[in-house]
Amino acid sequence: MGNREYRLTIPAVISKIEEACEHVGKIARKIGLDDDATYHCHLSVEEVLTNVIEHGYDYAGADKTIDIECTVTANSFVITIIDEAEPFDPLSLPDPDPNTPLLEREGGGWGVFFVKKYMDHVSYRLDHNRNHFIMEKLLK
Amino acid sequence: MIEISVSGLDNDITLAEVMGRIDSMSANDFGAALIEQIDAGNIRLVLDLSGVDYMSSAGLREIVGALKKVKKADGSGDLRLAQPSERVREVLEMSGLDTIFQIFRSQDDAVNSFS
Repeated sequence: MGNREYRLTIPAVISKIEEACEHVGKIARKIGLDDDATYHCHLSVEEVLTNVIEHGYDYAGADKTIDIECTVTANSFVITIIDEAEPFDPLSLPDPDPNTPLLEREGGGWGVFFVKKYMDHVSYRLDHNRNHFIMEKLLK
Repeated sequence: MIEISVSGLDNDITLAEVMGRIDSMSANDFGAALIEQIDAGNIRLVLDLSGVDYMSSAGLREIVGALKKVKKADGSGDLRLAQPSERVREVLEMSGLDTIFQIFRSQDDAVNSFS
């Protein structure tokens, strides 16, 4: 059987993130991911979309869109977040340090850190000047 | 969507019970509710998270901001966490916040820890 693909396009605003997370969660459940794996996908999509809207579009992306592409292969569930903000690879930043004292915590960087922990593989590529953030959950 | 119920207890302790998901959509309201309490001088805070099954980094940012503010306000101020779910505890642990916040298994334990 070939790959199955699903695509959702949302305006680049915080209020639309839930719709995207629910969309991904529905597919995850449909293909048999368990509650934990579905939760991991849901949280990861929220974190990546939040970063794009906050840092990529500086909360001014109401007239911009973000594509959420899901591909189900024989052994994996691949979620790709595609945006047209300034090219930027979130994986180029160092991981935040969990040992950072309270007063030195600036709050940033944890979203991508969680995505790396929760998903089996993450990568970034720039394609046609669009950011592609790719997250993969293996089907077990 | 979140609901926050705030109660004043003995010994100037304030209990905030949260229900719902703390994500990038609700984090601002959640953080504003905490800051409102701190600005009102309620700096001995217990945050009961038993009704929260989901907290993303946006929520963590708010509790870190609130803890910084409460610690700056007064030496006796603190924000203590009660009954985080397994998933919330996991993100607290991954980010190292389990060593920064005092976390209690029950609401009573968190409240009594102030006395």
